[in-house]
Amino acid sequence: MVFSRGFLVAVGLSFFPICLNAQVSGVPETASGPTWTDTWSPLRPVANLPRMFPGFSLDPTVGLVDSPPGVGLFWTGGNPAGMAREIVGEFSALEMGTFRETGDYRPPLQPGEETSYRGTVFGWSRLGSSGAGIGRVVVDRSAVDGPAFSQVVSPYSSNPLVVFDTVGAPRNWTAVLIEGGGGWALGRLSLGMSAGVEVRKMSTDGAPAPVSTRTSLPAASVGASWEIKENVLAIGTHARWGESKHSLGQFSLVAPSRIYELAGFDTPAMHNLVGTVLRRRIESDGGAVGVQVAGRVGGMRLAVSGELLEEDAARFDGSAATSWKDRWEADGWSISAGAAGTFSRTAYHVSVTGKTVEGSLRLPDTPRPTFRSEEARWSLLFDLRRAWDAWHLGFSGGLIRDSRKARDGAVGVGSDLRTWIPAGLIKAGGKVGSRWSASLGLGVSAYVPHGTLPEPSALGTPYQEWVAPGLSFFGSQSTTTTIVGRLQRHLNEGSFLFFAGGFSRISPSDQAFPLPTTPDGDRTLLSLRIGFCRSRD
Amino acid sequence: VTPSPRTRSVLAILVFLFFGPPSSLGGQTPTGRLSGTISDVDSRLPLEGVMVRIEGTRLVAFTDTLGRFDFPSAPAGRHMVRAERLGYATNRVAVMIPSGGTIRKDIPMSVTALRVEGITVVADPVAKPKTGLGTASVIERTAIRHQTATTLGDVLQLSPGVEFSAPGLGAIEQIALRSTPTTGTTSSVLGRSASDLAAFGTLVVVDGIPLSNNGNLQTLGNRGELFLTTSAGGGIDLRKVPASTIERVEVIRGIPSVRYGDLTHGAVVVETRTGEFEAEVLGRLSANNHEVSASNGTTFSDGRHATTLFLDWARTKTQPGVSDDAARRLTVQAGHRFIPGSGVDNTDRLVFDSRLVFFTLTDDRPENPNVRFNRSSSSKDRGIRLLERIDLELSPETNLHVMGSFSRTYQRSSSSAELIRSALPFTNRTEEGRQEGFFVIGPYVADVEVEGVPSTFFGRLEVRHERRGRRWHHDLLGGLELRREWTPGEGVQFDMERPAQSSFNGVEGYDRPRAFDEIPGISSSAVYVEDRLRLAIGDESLLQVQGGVRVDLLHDGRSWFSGLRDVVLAPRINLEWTPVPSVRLRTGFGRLAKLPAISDLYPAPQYYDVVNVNQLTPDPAEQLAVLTTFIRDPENPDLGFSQGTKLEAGFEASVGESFLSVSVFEDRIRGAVAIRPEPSFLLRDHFQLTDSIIGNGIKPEIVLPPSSSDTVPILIDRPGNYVRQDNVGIEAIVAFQEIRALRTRLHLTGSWVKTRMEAPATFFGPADRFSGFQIQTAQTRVPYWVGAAETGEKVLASYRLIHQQPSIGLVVTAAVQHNIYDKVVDETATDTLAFEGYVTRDGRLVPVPEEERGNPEYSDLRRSRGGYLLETGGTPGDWMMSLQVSKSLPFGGTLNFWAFNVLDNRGLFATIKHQSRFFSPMQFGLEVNLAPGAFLGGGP
Repeated sequence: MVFSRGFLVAVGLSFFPICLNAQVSGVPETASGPTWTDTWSPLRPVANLPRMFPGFSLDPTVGLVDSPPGVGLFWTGGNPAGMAREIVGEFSALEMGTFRETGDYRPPLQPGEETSYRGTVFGWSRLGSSGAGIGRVVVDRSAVDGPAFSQVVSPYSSNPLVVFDTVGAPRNWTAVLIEGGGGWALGRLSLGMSAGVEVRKMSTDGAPAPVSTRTSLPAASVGASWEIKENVLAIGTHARWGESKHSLGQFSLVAPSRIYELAGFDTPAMHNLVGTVLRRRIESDGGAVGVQVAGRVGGMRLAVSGELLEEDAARFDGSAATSWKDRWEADGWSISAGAAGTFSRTAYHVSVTGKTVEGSLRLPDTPRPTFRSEEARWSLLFDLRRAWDAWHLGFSGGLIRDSRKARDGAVGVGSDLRTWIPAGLIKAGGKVGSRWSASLGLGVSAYVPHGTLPEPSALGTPYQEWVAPGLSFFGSQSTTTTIVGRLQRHLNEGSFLFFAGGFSRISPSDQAFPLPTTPDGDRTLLSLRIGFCRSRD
Repeated sequence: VTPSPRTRSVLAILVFLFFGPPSSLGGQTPTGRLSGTISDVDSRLPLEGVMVRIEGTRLVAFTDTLGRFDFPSAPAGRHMVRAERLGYATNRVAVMIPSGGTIRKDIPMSVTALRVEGITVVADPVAKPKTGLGTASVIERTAIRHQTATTLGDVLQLSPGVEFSAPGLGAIEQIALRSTPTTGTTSSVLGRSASDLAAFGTLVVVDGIPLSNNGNLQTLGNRGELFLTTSAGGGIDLRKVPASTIERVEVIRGIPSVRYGDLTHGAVVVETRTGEFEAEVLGRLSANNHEVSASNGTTFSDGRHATTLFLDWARTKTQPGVSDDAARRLTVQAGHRFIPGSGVDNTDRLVFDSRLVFFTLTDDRPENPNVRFNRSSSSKDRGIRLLERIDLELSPETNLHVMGSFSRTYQRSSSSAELIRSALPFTNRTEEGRQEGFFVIGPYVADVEVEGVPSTFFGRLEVRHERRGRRWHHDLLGGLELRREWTPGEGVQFDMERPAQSSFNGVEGYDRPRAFDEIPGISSSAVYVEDRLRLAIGDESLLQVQGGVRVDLLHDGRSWFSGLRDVVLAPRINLEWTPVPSVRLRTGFGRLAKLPAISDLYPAPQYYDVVNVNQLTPDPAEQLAVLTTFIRDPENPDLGFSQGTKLEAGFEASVGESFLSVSVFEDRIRGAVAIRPEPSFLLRDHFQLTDSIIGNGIKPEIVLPPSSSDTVPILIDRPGNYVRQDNVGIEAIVAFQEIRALRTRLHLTGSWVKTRMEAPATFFGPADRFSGFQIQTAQTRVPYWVGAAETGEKVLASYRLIHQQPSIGLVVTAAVQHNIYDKVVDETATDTLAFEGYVTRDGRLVPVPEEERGNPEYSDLRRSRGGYLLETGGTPGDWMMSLQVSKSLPFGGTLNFWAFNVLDNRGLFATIKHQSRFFSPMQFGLEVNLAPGAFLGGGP
């Protein structure tokens, strides 16, 4: 027995695995959705494992997706060929939301205060008798009011090529993500493809040293699958490609500014800008191939997927240079497995994922890499739901282990951080009258790192000011508490309006022996969302 | 021997052409009258040129411009009527023609070749311009709606050979169809593109009003140091026409009808929306652009009155976050159509059509202390266009068309910049003669304002007469055009003690303030006559001939009765043969003429301030500057039209739903107007001073008479009809049949264009070389060169992959601009032996025989001319992609996401092997179209 979608829609409950924020779940920041609705995205990172931030964001599934977690070649392994058999019915959602993140407990290259307005359209549908399609558009406008220094989209990812300035002027980010795909069944064979692009622009407003950046991230994926036994066992393979072109420029004709180009723990390249313009490009290119197996055992759906990953990135001086000045090469693999079904009126979804990335940084004139890193993340996530006549209860939780080793050969120092993140979220809800329903959830997670970090005093001033506080932040224990709520107005069969809100606070929890450069304070995230969902079997 | 059907057809054509239409071939059977209208099933617009046949008879008719056909004497009884037109599905309908009676049958036709599910996102290469047979792309409103276009220039990117650009008002948009940029380096007077020179022109007609840039004087000239954002001296700025108001655009690249004058590079005919249509609201948002527009069209009084109203506001910031530079446009357009006879017998015998357009276009570049210190500029155009058109049906066969339009644009530009110069002697004298001057010392902020009011009256009287036979259709056209353009205004104004041009060296001088009120303007007129013949040959074949002649007259002075300055006889002919409905062969030849701009007809007087005494001392009391002002009039009384010839041939074919069109063309333009530097000299007097001791505090005076004299060479910038341009090329359009399973189709346009610009005039190398010669009295000569020739060659293709899911209202368009090949070459020799001779200090040109140029006595003349010294192999291919995703919204709305250069391809940088080619950076945004009427009325 599987969940009835109408049942879930009616009660407005959705409990998915802990939906960490976008950086953690490994999708572009503008995407929003539960993890299983992001796995298919052609835009998901390749050989890149952005850092785990303490805490988890509010459950982004509230209202946007009220379908049971998907398991299969497509939903678990991201093979677009799986769409033809795994997408049933029709689903569409429109959501508008605002998010505000404030507080000092953050690494130095994270913005101080950020307010985002985000619109999301997401849906899937059958296309004829043998095809299915899926698509998503996310539009995000973010205003950074507090100090913001980074000139790259994600300063805390595997790729150490980061550029930032010291002015930290307020800035506005505009991003659009658009992606979609289709799959078609031709007998036992299925073929599919998906493609997408994320585009971003950032500019300061009235800054003494204006900064503007633009980013284009196209990606595409193709796949094929073969059904060995109808509705029982299928295998598939896919390949995907992703690219990123990031161009930035800082104008400093009157006010002086300083630009740093981070590349590990060594003293970064520095540029004092007075009366000139600095332009940089960071371009990356990555690809992955994967295989999947999916099937059904009794009432349980199972899927296992693996991918080999490779990605290169390079930084270029100016807008004209064709030879790189820093080059980052990374490869790795990932594995994911999922199972879903129902046991004694309780619906469950369990997933195990693992991903490793090894990378090295090279300079044009040095034969050996100057900086190396080894990163891995494993997670076990589960989701349980049970419904009674008038009320419903769910529990989701998991355990994540994130490990990162890095060594900078140029200065002979390294770091080794291993982090455990246990988390749990309980949520309950029920009908309020004939057309309304409400739900409330409470969650707690811990961020427990241990390991070794370089001694800041032995390194240069830029390291002490800009790198060490970030490592200390990720090396400090913290606790996150979350409360989410949702009110839902049912319109007709399968469609409803929802209003959702949430609040989350991250606080350091080992204040007795803080690292010397750990930031003080805490950090909060507030969200308000309104949306419309429609689902048809 | 019995002649074959083909031979009979040829003989029939010859008989017809020589002896005119045969007399009525009516039989003895009872007859009735069959008439009707043929229209596009989607747009409901009338279709012209549809061949209508009554099957089983030899009766053929062709629809007129209003889509009407008429069989006054058709055999009574039940018949099948067949309507055929290339690009449309043939439609057969049954009709019962009453004996002695009349029946009306309207027939809809649907496109087969290019449209699926009612959504068209590309230009329609099958459709023809309403006025002729020349090669054209017709862009309908549905395509414009999927183009994310802010301006007419954005819309024209659907035409072959036009490069993509991001939507918005960020830069001046000009177009020169069927030409490609050249180097623009050998001679600055040629510019880089045909759109840079007012002597060339692509005619832009909006609702019958020819837009004109001939009266635009908002420029500081080629000697100014301050710059304005201006389209003066070049083509029409297409930003003035908002895309949101456009219903249909005909891009006539081939030979246009004789109705169109004042052009050398084709015509763009724009029709704005009129009549009744759903109210529409559009919002567009991106990091660079904001645009809001609203439109509505209503009818009342039984449809006799129709009013339309448009409102469009757009703003583009060119560097958001970095500078406040922005262009803004506001357009308000009101229209009223009155049909007194509407509803009576379905005849529109008299139609009044009135339009009033108000627009502002501002290009503001304010001072930004962070980026641009002490430098700002602004250009603001505020204009109105008033149009009245009257169409009167004198008889079922004869129509009278009268129109008059008046347009006036208030242009105000200003520029301010800090000029850093050492002490220079200046004079504020405005007449010839000598006087004491003054010194301008150190950096100063120069301000200049230019204010002109280009005004245009355009009137047209036109008669159209149709004659029909059973298998032929004549469409006769005759008309008269009157046009007057003038530019009053305060003109160029600046403080003469802080002039806007300070590269003063004692002889070049600086131009004085100039009021525009004294400039006479242009008066021109034209008469034209044309016939368009459609002749059915056999059952399926159709021959069309459109031939006519136009006489363009440029008058002297301010009126149309003040004598002729220049006359051009411009014959034009287009032939088109459709041997079978799926194939069309065509060729054409025509002559065109373009009016000279007012700035060329009446150039500003040139002032030369020769420094006689330049005594700059630390003590201001001892300083003395004496200058003699000379004035030279560069006006050329012989200046006339630029003239061009166009020759083209092509074919179109459709196979199933695929379509192919190929055109080959050769355009030659002669006598295009450009500045021709003319050497001359001035006589400079030198004086003794009464006191030349520095430090005694005594101001010296000059001692008369002059102690000596010498000559100073000068160049007079005299406009002349001397530039030539040749354009040859091939255009191809391929629309492939939709791949049904994927609901995807491919549309391809490609062009190869080679442009050669040639200026057989005398040139003197870089400007600073001649100015140095003027100052250095010891230098006796500098070289000169004869002729400049530059070529540009471009192979450009654009691929549009269109994926549609009509069931969910989704259209995804990926448009790839593929620059297959680019090459620009300076054909003119630029080596050190390429000089023709030398110019002396008294302005004489002394040629040096080629074999002697290597002699030691000419070593000072062996200097590089400038331009590309290295011929490269062209720039290799590169491409960029733009993306648009449209999704239907409830109540007839759409949501569009667009991304220009979505992969942010930066292009190619110059190497020793090739030249550079840059793509504009990525831009993206959202666009929402709403139909509030459908929403309020509870529509779908």
